[in-house]
Amino acid sequence: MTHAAEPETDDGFAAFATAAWPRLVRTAQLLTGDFHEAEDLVQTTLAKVYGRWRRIPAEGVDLYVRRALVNNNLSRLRRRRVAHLLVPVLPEPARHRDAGHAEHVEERAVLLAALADLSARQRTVMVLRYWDDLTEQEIADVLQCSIGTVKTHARRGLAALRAHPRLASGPAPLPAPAPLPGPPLRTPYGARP
Amino acid sequence: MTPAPDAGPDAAGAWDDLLRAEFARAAHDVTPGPAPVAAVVRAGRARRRRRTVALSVLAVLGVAFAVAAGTSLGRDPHPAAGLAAPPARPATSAFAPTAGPPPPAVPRTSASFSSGRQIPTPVRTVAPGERVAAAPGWKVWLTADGKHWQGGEDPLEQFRSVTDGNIDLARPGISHQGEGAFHSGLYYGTRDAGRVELVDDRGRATAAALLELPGRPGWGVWYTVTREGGALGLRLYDRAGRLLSELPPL
Repeated sequence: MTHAAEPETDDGFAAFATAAWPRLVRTAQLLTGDFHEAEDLVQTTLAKVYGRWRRIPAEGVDLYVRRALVNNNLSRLRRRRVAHLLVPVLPEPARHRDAGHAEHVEERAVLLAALADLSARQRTVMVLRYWDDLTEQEIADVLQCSIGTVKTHARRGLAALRAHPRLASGPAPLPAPAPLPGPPLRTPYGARP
Repeated sequence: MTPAPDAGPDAAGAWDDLLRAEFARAAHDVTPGPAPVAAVVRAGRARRRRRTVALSVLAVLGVAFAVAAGTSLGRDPHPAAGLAAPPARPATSAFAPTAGPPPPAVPRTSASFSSGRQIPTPVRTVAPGERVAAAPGWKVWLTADGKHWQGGEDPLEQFRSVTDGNIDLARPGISHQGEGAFHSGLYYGTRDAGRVELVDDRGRATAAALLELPGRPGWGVWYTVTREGGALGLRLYDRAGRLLSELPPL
């Protein structure tokens, strides 16, 4: 039995996944605050997308993938919340990872520390707005909620970020916005070849 | 370097620029490795196969569950048997998506009480340690200590205790462990559980199957399979249709 012919039936999924991977991981990194969780989240999301690839319209791939990523992240947070409720003391690896997470935040980016204090949906709205550069309508489409809800999350999230001591009066002055390597902010994850 | 928080529209624009730059910097602070396309495709194919099998077997499981519930009726009457009308949803719809509000409560009339007629219990009674094939590749069983389950990509047995003090058996409550399409959890604080539903963000409800140990210990296990992910809330009803506990979606 061979699967040699199966890649041909992927209908461009491999090319899409290869092109979308770096940006999806970066988005997931902002959503989760942890690089390894981000890679796991994207891998799980892409596997789910693969399962429905042929049924996703080409023009809707970006929306579908973003929505799947966000929903999977919310599910991940729910599972973690339940685990925290049911397990009085986390297993050692989990505790270690959380402690390490905080240290990494300290070292890496003030922003992640501020994002960690937001609710899951506020954080998602902030990431979609300031990293993926989506409009309020596009964010509402991803989250499957009203624009008013998006505005509320955005307003509260922004207020929390502004008030966050590390952003408002961080010890290190923030650098001026400068052109960054990699894809431009508005670049979608990629189109189906 | 940070813009003044109350300096008007210019400051708002400066904050937007600042945050865009900060998000971009944080995002580019990590360097993703090469895309694990082969692993993703392999996992995707496995997921696709499981879903196909699950959908085709769910109907069979539903019938099996109905039969099991029906046969358990004779040897394991519910404490409330004979009190009220049966739950509005028959056991055969255990996996069928439902919509709309929960069915209205049926008054417990003396006529129905005096009829002595046993009513189908929505709860399947299982022996301690009895493995229940909850879904293709998933097994669930109960012991006096709590809920055990095994399946999916993780071969290890998982466990949630009802005796470690983390749940309050004196008050109705519910927990949720979701792994892909398979969802399960504990319900507790009631000896009269009638229905557990998963509700998605569009309000569509999926009923779960319920398992308890003999003697109605005041807790049980629910499980079900959903077709889609996303935010899911949980509701626990008693046999009269009253909402006992709710776990809202994130």
